[in-house]
Amino acid sequence: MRLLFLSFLFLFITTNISAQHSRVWGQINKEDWDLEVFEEDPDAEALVLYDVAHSKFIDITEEKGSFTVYGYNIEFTRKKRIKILKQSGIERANLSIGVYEAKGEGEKFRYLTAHVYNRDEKGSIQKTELNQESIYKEKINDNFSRYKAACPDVKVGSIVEYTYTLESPYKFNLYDWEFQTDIPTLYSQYRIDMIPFYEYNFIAQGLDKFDYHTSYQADTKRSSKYYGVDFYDVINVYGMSNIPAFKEESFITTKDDYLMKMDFQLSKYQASKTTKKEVMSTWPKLCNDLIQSERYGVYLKDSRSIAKKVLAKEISNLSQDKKEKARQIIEYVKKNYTWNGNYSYSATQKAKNFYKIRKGSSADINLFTVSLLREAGLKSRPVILSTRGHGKIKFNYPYMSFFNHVIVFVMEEEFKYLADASEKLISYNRIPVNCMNSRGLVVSANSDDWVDLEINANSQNKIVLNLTINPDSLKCSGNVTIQALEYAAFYKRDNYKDDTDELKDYLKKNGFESDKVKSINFEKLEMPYIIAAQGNSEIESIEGDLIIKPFLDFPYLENPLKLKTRDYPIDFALTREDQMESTIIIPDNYKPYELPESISIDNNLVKTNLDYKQEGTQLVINGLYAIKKSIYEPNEYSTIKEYFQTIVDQFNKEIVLVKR
Amino acid sequence: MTQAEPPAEVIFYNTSIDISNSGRTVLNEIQIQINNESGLEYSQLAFTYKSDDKLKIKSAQILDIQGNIIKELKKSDFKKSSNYSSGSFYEDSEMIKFDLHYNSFPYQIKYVYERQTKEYYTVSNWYPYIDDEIVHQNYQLKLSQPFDYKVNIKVQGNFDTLIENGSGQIFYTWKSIEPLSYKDEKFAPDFYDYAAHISIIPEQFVYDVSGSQRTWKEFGDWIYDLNKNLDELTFSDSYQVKLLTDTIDNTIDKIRVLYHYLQDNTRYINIPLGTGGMKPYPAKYVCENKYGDCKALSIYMQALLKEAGIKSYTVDIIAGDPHEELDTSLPGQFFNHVILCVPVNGDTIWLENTSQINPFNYLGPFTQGRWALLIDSGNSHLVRTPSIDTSDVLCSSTLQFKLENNKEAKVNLTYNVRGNVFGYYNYAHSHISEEDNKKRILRVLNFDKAEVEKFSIYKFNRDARSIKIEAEINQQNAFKNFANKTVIYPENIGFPKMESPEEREHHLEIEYPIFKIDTFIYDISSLNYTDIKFPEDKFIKSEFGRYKCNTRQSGSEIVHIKLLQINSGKYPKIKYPDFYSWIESSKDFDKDFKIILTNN
Repeated sequence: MRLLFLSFLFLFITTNISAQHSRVWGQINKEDWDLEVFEEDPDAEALVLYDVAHSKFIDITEEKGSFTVYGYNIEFTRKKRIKILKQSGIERANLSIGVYEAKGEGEKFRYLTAHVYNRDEKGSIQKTELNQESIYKEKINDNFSRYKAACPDVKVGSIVEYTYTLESPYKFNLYDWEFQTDIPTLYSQYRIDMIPFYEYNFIAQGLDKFDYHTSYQADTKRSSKYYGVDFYDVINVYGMSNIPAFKEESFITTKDDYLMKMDFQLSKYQASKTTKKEVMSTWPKLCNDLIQSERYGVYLKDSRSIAKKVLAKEISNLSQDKKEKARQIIEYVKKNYTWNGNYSYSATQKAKNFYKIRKGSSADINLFTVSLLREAGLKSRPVILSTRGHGKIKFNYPYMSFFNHVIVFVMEEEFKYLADASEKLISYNRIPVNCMNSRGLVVSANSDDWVDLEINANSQNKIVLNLTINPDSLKCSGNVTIQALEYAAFYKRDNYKDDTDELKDYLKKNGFESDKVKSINFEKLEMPYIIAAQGNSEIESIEGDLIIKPFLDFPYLENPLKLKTRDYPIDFALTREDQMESTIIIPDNYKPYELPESISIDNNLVKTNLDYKQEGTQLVINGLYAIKKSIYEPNEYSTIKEYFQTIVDQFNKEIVLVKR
Repeated sequence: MTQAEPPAEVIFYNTSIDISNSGRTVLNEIQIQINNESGLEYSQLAFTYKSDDKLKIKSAQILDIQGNIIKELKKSDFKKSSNYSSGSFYEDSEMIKFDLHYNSFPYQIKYVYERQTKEYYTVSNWYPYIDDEIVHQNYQLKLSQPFDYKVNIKVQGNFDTLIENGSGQIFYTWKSIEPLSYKDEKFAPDFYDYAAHISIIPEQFVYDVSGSQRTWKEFGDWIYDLNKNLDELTFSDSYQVKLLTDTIDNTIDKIRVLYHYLQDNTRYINIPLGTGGMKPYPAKYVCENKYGDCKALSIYMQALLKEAGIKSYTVDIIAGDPHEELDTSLPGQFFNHVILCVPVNGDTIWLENTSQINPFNYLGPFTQGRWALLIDSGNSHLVRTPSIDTSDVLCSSTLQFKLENNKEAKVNLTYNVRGNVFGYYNYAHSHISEEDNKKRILRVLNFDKAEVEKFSIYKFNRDARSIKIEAEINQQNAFKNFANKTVIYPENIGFPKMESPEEREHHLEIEYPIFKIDTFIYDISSLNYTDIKFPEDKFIKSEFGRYKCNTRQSGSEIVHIKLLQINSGKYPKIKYPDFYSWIESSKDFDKDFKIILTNN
C-alpha cells in the first residue's frame, strides 16, 4: 500500500511540474520565463521545453502517362521549443535540417518557421519571426542537402520555438525519434497516425516504459482509391518527461547504443487489395534479397570474372596449399587496393570500375576478395555486420539498416577465420577492433547463421629493458626491446608506420632517448612486431642517492578511468596483457635502500604480478598486468578503477640506490 | 624500416594570368609526385568558386613516374556541391571535388584548371603552394596585361624575372630559382610573411563599383562608398540608444553602454553574400536579426554610436595569432576582419564587435599591435593598433599546500590571468561546464592524482581584463619519499619548447610578451624532518627576458617564488643561440629544482 501511495504521489508531482510549462505552440507560460537555471543540471546551456513530432500518411496522386497512380507519402512535422540558458547555448538557435533529396526523387523540405521570444526587464514580451528569405539551402552532394537558418534576436534567456515539415516517399523507413539529446528535455513526444496498409515494428532503446502512451482510432473516415477501401487512422502517441542530457563517457561503442529513442522499420505492407507482404521479416529472407540485389549479388558475379584474370596475371606463384593460397589472396588485396574510408555492406560502384581505380568502400574491397577466394577454389562467404561506431544489432528485428560493413569469412574444413581486406595493417586472418561488435550475419541463401565477432582478441606487449647505471653522467644506458603481439602490434604498426623518427618519439615519450632503433616484421603482419633500441634514460640524484624507475614511463602513468561512478558497461573491446622485464646493473658502490614489496593479484577480472630480485649488482624486476575481460559491467567499475590505480602506483614506483 | 620519406613533392606549380577587357583569366597547371600512402591526401582536390566566377577543370590526370598517362578523369568524375566546408554559416559559393588516387607508389598527378573572373580588386596574391609541409621544386608565374593597365607589384623571394613587350601587351615571367619548403617553428615568422609570393594589385578596378588602390586613401574611399548609408537604425533601436544614453554625460560611458548593448543583443553569424562578401549588410539587417558578420556588426555599432552623436570609424585589419604583416607600401585588399575605432578626447577606444564576452576597449592577441586601414571619407589612412605589453599579459598563481604525512595535501589555488590565457578563461567562464573546467585545471597544474573540491572563475566585472580562478584541490601525491628523504617538486613554470640552434631555420619573432609569476607555499608542519635543503636563489637575465627563482623558509612554511618574462621582439637568426641558451639554462634550473627534507 505504502509503495503504491508513494508512486502515485511521485506521478502527481511530476505531472504537476510539467504542467506548469507550456506545450502549446505560440504560448509561453510564466514558468518558462522564470526558469533561468535548470536545477537538475545547472551546467545545461539550454533546455528543451518540449519537442513534439507527428508523422502521418498523406494521400498523393501521380500522373504516369495516361494513368493516375494513388499512394501515400509520410509527412513529418516537428515542433520544438528551447530556452537558452547560457551564452554557449545561443548556437542552438542556428538551425540545420538534413534532407535526403535523392535528386528530387526523395524527401522534400516543405516548411520551416521559427519564433524567438524575449522578455525585457519590465516584463513585456517581444516576438521575432524568422524571415523566410533567411533560409538557405546547402547542397552537400547530389542526394543530400541541408536547410539552414539562423534564428534572429537570440540571447541568453530567449525562448526559441521552431517547426518544420518534411515529406518522404520512403515508407520502409518511418521517421525515427530521439527522446534524448545532449541537453536536458522536459517533454518529448512522438505521434504516429498509422494507416492499415503499412505495419511497422519499433525498438525503444534506453527506456523501460513510456511515461505516456495512448492509442486510439481517429474520428475521420478516409478512403483509399488504390485499395478501394474506407479506413480510419490509428493514432499512437508516445511521450517521455524529464529526460536528462546524454553525457558521453569513455570506453563506449557509440552513443547511439545508449540514447533514449525509438527506431521504426516496415514489417508488412498491403501489396494488393487482398494480400499483405512481409518486408524483411526474417534474416534468411533478408539474405536472399541481398543476394539478388544489384549492388551485392551482381557485384559478386561481375567481380568473379575479373577475379579469374587477377588470379592468372597479378598474383604470382599462387600456392597449391589452400591455407597459403587464401593468405596470398587476402594480402594481395590489402596491398593493391585502398579503402576510401566508407563502410558499406553492399558495393558502391561497379566491379569493373573498382578494379580499375583500385579504391573503394569496405564492401567493394571485401566482396571482391570473396570472389577472388571463390574463384581460387576456396570456400568463403561475406559476413555483414555493424561496426562499433554504428551501434549494436537488435537480433530480434531483422532489418538491413542495422548493418554498415561486410567482411570475409574464410570457411575451409581445416581452417576458418574472419578477414577484412580493407585494413592494410592487420594480419590477413584478423579483423579490426571496430568490427568486434557482437555477431555478424553470414550471407548465403536462406541463412540465419551468425558468427561471433568478439573473438577473444587480445593486445599483448612485452617490454624488456637492460640498463646499466652510470652515476657520473646521471644516466642509465642500455637497450629496450618491445615485442608487440596481436592488436598491440597493429596499433604500433598503425601509429608509427615503421618510421624511425616516429619510433624514436614513441620511446622518448616513455623515457628512453634512443640513438639507434630498428624494427622487425613490419610487413609480416601475422608475426609479432618488434622494436629494438639502444640509448639511455635520465636518472635523478638526490643528495647522492640515485632514483630509478625500473620500467621507465612504459606502464600506465595515470588511471584511464576518471569518473567516480559509471552507468554504462566499460567496453575496452580487447583483453590486454603487458609484460615488463627490467634488468638493471647497479654500480659497485651502490645498493638499493629497500626493494618495494612484490605483489600478486589473480582473479576472474584481472591479473597482476610484480616481483623484485637482487643478484649481486644486478636488479631484476618482472611485472605483468592483464585485463582479462574486454567488457566490464558497471558494477565492476570501482574494482577495475582501483585495479588501474594499483598498476599506476606500483609499476611506477621508484627504487632508491644509496651509497654503500 | 623507413626513414621519413616525404609524402609528396610538387614538381611544378605554374600559373598564367591574362588580363583583358573581358576580365581576368587564371590558368593553373600543377604536377605533384605522390611518394607513399601519406601523400594520398594531395590526390584529393577541391576548388571553390563564387557564383559569378567561371571555374573549369581542363584536365586531371594520373601519371606514372616517367610522365606517361595512366588515367584521365572524365567530366562525371568531377563532383559539384555547395561550399559547405568553410567557417561560414552559409556561403553563396560552390565547390568541385575530385580524386586522383592511385595505388602504386611513387606516381604523379597533374591537373589544369582555369578561373575566369569579371570583377576583381586583386590581379593575384600568388602563393604557389599546395601545403607548407612539402617541398615545391619549381613554380612560375606569368602575367600578360594591356600596356596601359597599371599595377603595383610586390615580389618576395628569389625569382628570375623577364619582362617583354609586344602588341600592346606587357608579359612578365617570374621563375623560381630554388625549391621552397617551410618549417613550422616556435616564435617564427608567419608562413605568409616568409614564403615566396607575388602580389599584383591593379591601381584601378571595378568590383560592383569602381575604385582605386593607388594609395591607401583611395582604397579607403572605395570601402567608404561600400559602407555609405548603411548606418541607418530602425526606430526601435534609435529609441533604445536614447533610452540608454540620454542620462549619461561622459562620452566613454556612453560608448561602453552601447557596446554592452551590442554584446548582449547580437551574435556573430557569417553569411557572405553580395559583392564577393565585401559589401556589409546594413545596420538595419542587424537591427532585425540581431546577428551579422564582422562588417555588419561593426556598421551596426557605428550606427548606434552615431545615434548617440559619437563619431567612429571602421578599421579593416588582418586578424590572427600569429598574423601576417600588412605590407604598408602596397595598398590593396589584404584584410580579413573589421573592427571599430572611436577617438575620444585625444584617446582611442577600440571595439571588437563580434565577441559577446570581450571586455570593452579590448584588443587581444587576435588584432593587437599591427597596421590596419582606418576608413574615413577622403581621409582613410593606416593606423597601428595598440600592442600588448608586459603588464597586459601577467599571469600569477599562488598555490598553498598543506602537506600531510601520507603524501596528501590540501591545495588552495588562486590564479590571476591576463592576455591570451585570459582569452581562454573568459571563454571557459561562459562556455565550458564546471566539470570540464575542473578536469582542465588539474591538467594545467599537472596534478595526476587529485580531485577538485571547489572551483570558480571570477570575473571582477564584465570589462575586466583579468580573471581570477580559485580552486580547492585534494592532491594525493603531493611529494615523494625516498629512503629517509621527502622530496617536493614544484611544478615547472612552463617554458616554450624550442629547437636546438643547429635545427633552427627561422629568425626569432615573438609577437607579444609572456610574463608569469608562480608562488608555491608549502606548510610542512605535519611532516617529520630534521633538515631542509633547496637550491640557492637564481636570476638569469638576457636581452630576451628574465627568469628568477627565490625560496625562503619561514617557520613551518617554505615559500618558493619564480618568475618568467619573455619580451616581444624580432631578432636576427644569429641571436638565436643566445636565446636558446638563456631559455635552456633557465629551464634546466627550474626542472631540477626540488625541496629536500631529511629525517635523520
